Amino acid sequence: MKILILFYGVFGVEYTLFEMEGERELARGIIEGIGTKTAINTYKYPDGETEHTVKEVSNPVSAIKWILHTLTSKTVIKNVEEIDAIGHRVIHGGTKYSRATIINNEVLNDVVDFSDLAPEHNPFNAQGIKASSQVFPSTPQVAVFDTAFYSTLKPEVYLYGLPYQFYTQYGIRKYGFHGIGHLCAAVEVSKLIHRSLKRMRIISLHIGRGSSITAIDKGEAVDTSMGFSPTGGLLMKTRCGDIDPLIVIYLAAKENLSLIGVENILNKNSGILGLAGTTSLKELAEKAEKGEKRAVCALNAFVYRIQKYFGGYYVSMGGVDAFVLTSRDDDSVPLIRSKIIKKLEFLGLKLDEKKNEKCCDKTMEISTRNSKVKIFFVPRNEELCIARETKEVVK
Amino acid sequence: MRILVLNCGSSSAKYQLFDYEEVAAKGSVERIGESVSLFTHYSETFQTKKSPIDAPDHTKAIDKILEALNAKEKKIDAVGHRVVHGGEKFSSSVLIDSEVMKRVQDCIPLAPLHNPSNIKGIEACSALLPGVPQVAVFDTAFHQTLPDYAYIYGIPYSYYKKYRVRRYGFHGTSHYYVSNRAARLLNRPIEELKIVTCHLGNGCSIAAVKYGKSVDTSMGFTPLEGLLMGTRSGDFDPAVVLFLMEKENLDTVGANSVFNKRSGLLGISQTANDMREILRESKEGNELATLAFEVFTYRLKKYIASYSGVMGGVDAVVFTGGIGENAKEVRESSLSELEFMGVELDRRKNDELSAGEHIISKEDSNVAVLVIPTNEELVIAKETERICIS
Repeated sequence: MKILILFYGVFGVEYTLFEMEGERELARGIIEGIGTKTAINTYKYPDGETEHTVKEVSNPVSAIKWILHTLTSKTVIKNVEEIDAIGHRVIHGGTKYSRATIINNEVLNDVVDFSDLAPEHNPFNAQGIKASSQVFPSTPQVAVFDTAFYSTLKPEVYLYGLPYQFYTQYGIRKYGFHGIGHLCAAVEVSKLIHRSLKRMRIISLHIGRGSSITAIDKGEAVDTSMGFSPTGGLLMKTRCGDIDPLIVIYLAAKENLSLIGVENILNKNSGILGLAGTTSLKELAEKAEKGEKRAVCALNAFVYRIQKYFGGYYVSMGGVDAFVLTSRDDDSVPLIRSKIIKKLEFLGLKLDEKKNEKCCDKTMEISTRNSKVKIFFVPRNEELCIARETKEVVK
Repeated sequence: MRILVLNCGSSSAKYQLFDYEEVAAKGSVERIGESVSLFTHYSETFQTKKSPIDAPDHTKAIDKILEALNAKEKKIDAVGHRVVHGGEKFSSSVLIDSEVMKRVQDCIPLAPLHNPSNIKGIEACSALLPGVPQVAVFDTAFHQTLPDYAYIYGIPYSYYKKYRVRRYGFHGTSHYYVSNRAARLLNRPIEELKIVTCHLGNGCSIAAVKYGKSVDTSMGFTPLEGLLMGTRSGDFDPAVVLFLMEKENLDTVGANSVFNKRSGLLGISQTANDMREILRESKEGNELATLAFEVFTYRLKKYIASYSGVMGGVDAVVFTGGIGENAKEVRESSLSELEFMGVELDRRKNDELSAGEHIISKEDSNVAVLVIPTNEELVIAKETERICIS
């Protein structure tokens, strides 16, 4: 069974093709610059080599067609019929979707409706679904939601201290994001150590373009750092994370900015970039090692926020069995992991520095033998988890 | 030494007169600037409650207070002022001179509602009590020991440089007082203790006090951030501000008022901003009141745990303020799942609390739990005395 995973976003579209038998990745790539004359298709061969192709891509349909063409021309597949299902990563499923679902008109309309809650994502997710349905008219399409994993949050966790009618009227509450990624990493660890998720309390840290931390008790999410939007919580590469909400109003007045102007700054010019002038965690670590003052401050602030959340979630679950860190290669920095875990030592976490240095192209334990809380690194692969869920749904 | 402690708000002046650390008189003038102001005064010789007076400004109000204190005959030796915002300029109390006044004025943009009234009080005293030393004690000063990674926000660094946008923290005098009293009660030097102090009153804040120094606190750039409060929201996703302003067609003044005056316990319960009423409503089956209570205690619990974590452990948790001192349900619920961290509340001591300072954890609890009524005025008086004598 072959499943194609699509993530259609503001940046373009990421595609990954899996053979579900043996869970092998057959192809991976990304098309950026859709709607321009110079869209770039970056195709990644299984050995890590990349190949760039440039051509005009005027609309979403031609982008999806290009993906299909790429897959057939590389002879990964012979024809359309070989693809058994398509899984779409959808960021916001509101409170309605607590699991992956086959896409029909109602689901598509909901994805569009939730644009209000995720204006940066859902409109694009919907475009991708529509285009894909045109290019693959007889292939089942499945939506896998980033928010679904958090349907288990309790009201005292997801409610803000705002007037209650804003919750009932506009749906203002904590939703949480990266749900697929957090669950995926937890499942990987559970497989590695042959222990059921039902018997584990996990704190999972996802580091990427955005970063978040989630408490998972018996396989269910109990709390998470991102909230109504992906802006809050941890310090991120370009997003501010938690701030005093009144700063938003203060800055708008002081800098004479519109609401959108402030939102742009909080999402695109803040976080590590705003403090230290880089979005690369590797560069941040290097600068901090050299003693550059603002890099030191930014790195410390990044680590400190994680430490604060960890303590809170530790207690939310009455203890922790495993700490799971997940990121892609670019964001996997041993020094940063080491700094984070040093701050958690008194809670029973001990890092095996050698394993940490070598880490990791596969899921592995990186704690010492006597560490009371086990520490794991999981390379990010949400696409595979989306593929698994897609397979479940079409079955 | 006779020390007058003054806390001036926009339309009020509260005061206490200390005579060698004993309160000799106290009271307030309310509705300053309105057509009729109200004067309340308690002392051994003279008592009045809410009697109408004429106080068009702070100077007139303070003049009335001095008259009631018989300041002409029994000289006042010094005045201590509560000043809300000392910015990054003041990390301790200070004798007021023209240079200090200028710097307090510089902090007005950070506390536009508070510092101007504090300044009015200082100016009135300079006019009415010429030559009497005055001391400023800042709400923010105790938190000036926060490390940079705890006070910096993840916004462009230029905003910190240009506008001094950072975490300041408030209720500093209270956190300082109760942490020091806790050390005294536990009979251990504060330099050895890791203490989490919970100030739960109209405004609520929590602080991590490590070896006598504040290392983190929940209120931030303004007193809105952090815990859930009576009518203030505390923490929420910053993107909500913009979303709501657009949906509700609010300007900045309107948004400010929603988050500060219509949120918190009141906002969720839609009934009451007072924890006593929330608890009563909750017992009578009001589900939103129960929800408000649960959001309040869950957040408090997370902060207690989080601050214990950042200090690498905790020796004592202290409750103070109206809710902290009186709501046993809040104390019990916020500590309920901390047993595994070594917190063992003595249920009976918690339930049957009399006024005053108490240790309410079990004798063998690894973490002590204390209830300590705060006394910011006493700290201001002592600070004033210390500075005037040195």
